[in-house]
Amino acid sequence: MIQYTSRAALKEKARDQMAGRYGNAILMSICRGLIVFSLGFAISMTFSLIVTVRVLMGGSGETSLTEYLLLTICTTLLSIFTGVFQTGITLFYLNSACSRPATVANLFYGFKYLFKKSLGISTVLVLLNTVCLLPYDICVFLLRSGKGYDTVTMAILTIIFIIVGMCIYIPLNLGLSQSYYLLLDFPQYSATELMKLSLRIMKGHKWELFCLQLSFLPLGFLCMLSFGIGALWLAPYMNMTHTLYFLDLMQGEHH
Amino acid sequence: MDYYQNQQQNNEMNGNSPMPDPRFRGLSIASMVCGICSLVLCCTGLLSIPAGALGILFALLTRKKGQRMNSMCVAGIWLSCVGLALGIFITVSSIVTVFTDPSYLNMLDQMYQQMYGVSLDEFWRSYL
Repeated sequence: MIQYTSRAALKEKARDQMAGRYGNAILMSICRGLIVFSLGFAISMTFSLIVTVRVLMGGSGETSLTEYLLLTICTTLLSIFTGVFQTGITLFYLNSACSRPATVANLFYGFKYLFKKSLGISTVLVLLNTVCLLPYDICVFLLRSGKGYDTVTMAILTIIFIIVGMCIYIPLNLGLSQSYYLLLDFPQYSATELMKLSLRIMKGHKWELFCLQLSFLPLGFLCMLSFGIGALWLAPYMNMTHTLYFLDLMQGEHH
Repeated sequence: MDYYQNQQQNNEMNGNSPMPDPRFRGLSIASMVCGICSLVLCCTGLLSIPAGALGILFALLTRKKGQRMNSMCVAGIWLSCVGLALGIFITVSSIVTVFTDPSYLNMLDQMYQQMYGVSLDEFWRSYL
């Protein structure tokens, strides 16, 4: 019978592996954060400018549902493009876990070498998120606009949509969670093959990974108390734990 | 063989628990500094909360099974917990005092009138 490493052992190993490596990991997070923020800021500023010009020309200052959906499409496209960074981040943590040199330059690996496949995986993951949570997003928008919709009914619909959306999204996301790791291990496979392989190896392990992610909630609460500053250290710790989980899973697959 | 490994072997021979890992020294120092800052910033209320939370987080990131925590980490955790608890208590009691005492509410109302030209109630109604 295959013996997988326990959650506590994985987290202890992650803490050990990350010792002395937080600097580069934090720098990489900041670089990525700045790039994503700049692009997102540019998009939201463009929309604000359109609304401002419309108001100056005597039009309404309220955002219509069409404009909201257009903004959602733009932010989805941005998320798909910036999702390619995840390949580089995954490479950084795989290198750190295997005691190989890991630098901030790894962040751009996905753009240099595996762009199409990274983009394919990113597209599926982001569209999955968008489609599952779109009904909830629309309900929240309509609730906030308050245009004659019954508040109680909209609130109930919002809660139902978020619960249903999460029940569909979480298992699928957990199933596809190993795609970026597999992309680096098997670069010759296509994006579809990698995602199918991820779904296969995660069969029977989704609950395990879900519990592993939930085990970070107490530290996540501490990060909230620190106004997000603690996330600079928590995120690398979580990423390393996930990387070690993947390596442990693959060891079991080889057996 | 380096000093750390030599000390580890001596500890094992004497039946003592292993020495703390020197790679976690930076986080240990950060934990203790955050703990001290958290205690000192208690007088401000809100600022001691993030300092205390960071102190606890840094100390928890240095944990290792079978190895005692660095004395700086232990000090950091204790100071951070006290600072965090005091900070939360001072913040919550300040908010409760301001919003239940009519004289403080009046002062806050006047401050909002001077800063934004509207009363406190009108400001929050327009914001929400």
